[in-house]
Amino acid sequence: MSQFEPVIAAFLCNWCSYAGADLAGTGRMKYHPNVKVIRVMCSGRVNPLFVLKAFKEGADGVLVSGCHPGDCHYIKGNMFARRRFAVLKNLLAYVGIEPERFHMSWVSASEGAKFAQVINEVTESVRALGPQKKLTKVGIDE
Amino acid sequence: MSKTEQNIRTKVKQLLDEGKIRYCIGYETGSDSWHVTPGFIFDAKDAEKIVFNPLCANNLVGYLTDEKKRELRKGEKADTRPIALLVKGCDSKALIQLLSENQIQRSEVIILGVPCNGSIDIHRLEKLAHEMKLPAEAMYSMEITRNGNNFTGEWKGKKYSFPLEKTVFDKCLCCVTPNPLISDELFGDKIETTGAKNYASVEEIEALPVEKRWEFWSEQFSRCIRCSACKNICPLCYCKECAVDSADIVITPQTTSKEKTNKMPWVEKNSELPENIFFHLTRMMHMAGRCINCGECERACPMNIPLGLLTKKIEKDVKELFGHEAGLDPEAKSLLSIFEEGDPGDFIK
Repeated sequence: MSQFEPVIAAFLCNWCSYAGADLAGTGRMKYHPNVKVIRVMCSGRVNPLFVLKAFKEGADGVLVSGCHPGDCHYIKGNMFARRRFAVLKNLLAYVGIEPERFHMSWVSASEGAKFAQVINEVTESVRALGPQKKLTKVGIDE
Repeated sequence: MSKTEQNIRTKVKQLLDEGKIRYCIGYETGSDSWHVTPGFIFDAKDAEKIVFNPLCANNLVGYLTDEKKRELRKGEKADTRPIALLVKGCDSKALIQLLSENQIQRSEVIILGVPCNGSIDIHRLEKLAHEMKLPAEAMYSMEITRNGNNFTGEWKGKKYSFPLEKTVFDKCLCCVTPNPLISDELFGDKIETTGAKNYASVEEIEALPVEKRWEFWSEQFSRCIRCSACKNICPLCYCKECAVDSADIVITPQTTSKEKTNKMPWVEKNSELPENIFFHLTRMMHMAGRCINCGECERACPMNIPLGLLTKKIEKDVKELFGHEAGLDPEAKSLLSIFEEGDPGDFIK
């Protein structure tokens, strides 16, 4: 039987994490191909609704990644994101969604290796949980 | 009729006679003496209709933002006089939250504060009355008054007593703000705070393993019929356009990207479980740091979904994570629009 391949929706900030992903690519680093990258201008742009919507559209895991605190291109966007997702993460766990399905990370433009490592970690932790069925909207089949 | 009630009536009558207010939002008797409905008093002679008793459960603060949203009728001139509003302890927190969010100005409202030591959940009272085998005709006609730790009623010379913990809302049992935090005039004596914040019900669920939590919540949410009663009654849900209202949009090749983003169908109309969870979680995210736990959503829910467990969780979380409590300071900034350097971030890789 083939291994379960999860779908990870990753919201990457344009200035740090997306550039970090780029660096991982140009550096020929190998990481799991399960991640579907969605570029946003800032992690502060990511509305908690995006995360829920990603789950609803069938994502098995969601990653939100932005600049390290203090490095935000827009000075403080990532700080707002941190507050928001601290609340959302607790709330998801409270209603019975496995907390390992939602991840957040700080990856800077120079951290290509960290990006590859984060993706591998996220993919493995979601793979261990199996397919996400709880929030997937009715009518979406594999 | 209690003295408090009499004082409120006199004050409202005086305000209306002097023409100082547009109207007064208070409570009046509904179809019977057990059912109290929100009352809108425009005329001084109607001031006699105002009631205040333990059955006055509604949070009336939401009507202020409703009034703001109302469009003027043809030929109607804008009235700039304030509105008089009856608030209990918990309602005053909602009012403070609206003030802090600049939805209403302090000058637009005359706050008639009433200390409240617990309001009765009519469904629990009815249930109790059935258990006590009260005669049907007695049920809705007796007047209920507070008497120490009990509510008492009298019918045909016979006295009935209803214990407090079996009749009031859960939120009232751990109420820490029985007195209005903000008011222009206070009716009745201040009540000493006896309750303490209690998150036992939330902690009980938190302690369950993840699959059990899912079992519990999926059962609750699958009953949701998405009537939006929770959202409509919420005093702090005032947006003209709501993110969780289903948008009717047909996407054609001519639909511009702007139209698509402006009318994003976040939630579909069907009441399948994933959509219901999406609806409730979104509502909770929008209430984070704003919800004052007045319990109106739970009261309004026709399917008896324990929404109080969600609002309490949010309240507990923002308190633990950011030390924030909603509805205490009219100058406070909105929780999710500010940040601190040392916000918890240990969940971030």
